[in-house]
Amino acid sequence: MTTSTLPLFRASWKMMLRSRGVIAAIITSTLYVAFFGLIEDLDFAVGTETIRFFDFVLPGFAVFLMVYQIQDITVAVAASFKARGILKRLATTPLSPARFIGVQTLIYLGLGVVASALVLTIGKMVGGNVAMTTNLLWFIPLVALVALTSIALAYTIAGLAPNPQTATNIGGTISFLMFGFAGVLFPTQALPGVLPDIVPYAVPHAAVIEAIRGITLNGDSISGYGHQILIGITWLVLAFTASTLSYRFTED
Amino acid sequence: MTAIAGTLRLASASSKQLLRSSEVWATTIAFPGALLAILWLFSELRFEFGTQEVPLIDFWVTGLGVLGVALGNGHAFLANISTWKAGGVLKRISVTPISAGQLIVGEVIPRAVLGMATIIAFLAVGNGLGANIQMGVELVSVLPVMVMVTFTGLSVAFIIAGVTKTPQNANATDTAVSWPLYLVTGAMFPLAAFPTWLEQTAHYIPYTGLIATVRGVVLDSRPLTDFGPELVIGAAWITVLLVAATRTYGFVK
Repeated sequence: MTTSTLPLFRASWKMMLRSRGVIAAIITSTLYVAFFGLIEDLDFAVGTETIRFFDFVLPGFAVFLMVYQIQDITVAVAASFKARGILKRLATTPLSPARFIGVQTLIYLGLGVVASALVLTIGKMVGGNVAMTTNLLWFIPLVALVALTSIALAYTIAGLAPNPQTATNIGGTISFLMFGFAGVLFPTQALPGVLPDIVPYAVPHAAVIEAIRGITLNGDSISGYGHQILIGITWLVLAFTASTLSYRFTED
Repeated sequence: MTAIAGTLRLASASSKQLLRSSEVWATTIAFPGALLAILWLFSELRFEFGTQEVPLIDFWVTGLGVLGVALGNGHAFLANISTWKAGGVLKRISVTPISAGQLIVGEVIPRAVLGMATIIAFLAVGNGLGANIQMGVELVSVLPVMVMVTFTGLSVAFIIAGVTKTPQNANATDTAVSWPLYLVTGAMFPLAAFPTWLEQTAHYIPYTGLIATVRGVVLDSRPLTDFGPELVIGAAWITVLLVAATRTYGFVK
């Protein structure tokens, strides 16, 4: 099995690197963060509290821009597989659909982590206050958690939508809403009423991005974010369960 | 049938097609609606820069809203005209009693009206959701600026359709051109927060002056005459873009 999986890894990796969308996503994310680094004299203010704009958006953008692209690409690919019956055809070959999807998922997971780390590094180089402590290593598994949840959500969307066009539209809408409410660009404390208390539970990634922000900006220990990580893992389990129920991975 | 009557009938037919199109609903209702909902929920959030501060909802309704609607409208228009080019539609039209020019004008009229109406509606709904938009004569006085914003977007669409060979390439080029505009025109972030060299350069980029004008008039009730340099730069860009559009896009084939 390993001998057939490794060539599949290599082929998938090459295909991914040839994809203009992936390259564009990495370049765009990097340029966004580099540009934000130029905006020196800008703060977000809520009530009497202020936070430097670039410090706030750097961790969120480092995680979300790449993960958003990965989700978008996975929705398009999975919906296309479904519409064209690719997995059904694959099931008649020695390569199982589950292994095929598993390899693709791992490739995108690796890409998400590497690209997010790259964006964070660029952000640090252009003036972001990233705390360079050993706690920063937790950035890697936390980004992986966000990316894996997004990939599972992508398969759920592709499984529920009737065609690739609708799947892409639904995926784009969900990403746009997460971009607004997951604490990527705006502090969720600025939301009215009880929403700041509800959002970490109700919006995928919001709790984990809060943990990532604390670790990258303040050098906080992961142990202070057990609650947020539990919420993130719960979202991953929910998304994974939903994807297995809605998307026919094996085409049995 | 006179040329004018024929063009008006084409404009009427294009308007009907526009209203049936899902991309128009997305760019004029769905995207602006979702953006307004997010801004309303974050209406307590403010930008602070230097000694100034501005509510996010005021800043983005007058900046991101204006630019987003203009670029969204231009993007949808681009899909049409790049498909015309790729399919040789204008060449075929030119052997019929309808001229290519009439077809284009018939398409531009409803697009321009729709773009302007969407921007006005966006500002009005933004006001209803708590943005400090002045809804009196200020809104009327920025109408010429809305026309300029709309025509800048449509001219850029013609240029992109002219220099690209396929609708796919046109779409990708438009996206690549659009996203820097969101960042550097002052639509999303105050120019005063930029480094000096970027702030000074940004004043000469298309849309920057027009967005500053709309913002100054509808937020601060300043007269249009306060924005002479901004409007001159905006008008100069439209002239340059229209000339470039006529040279790159085969209007008559």
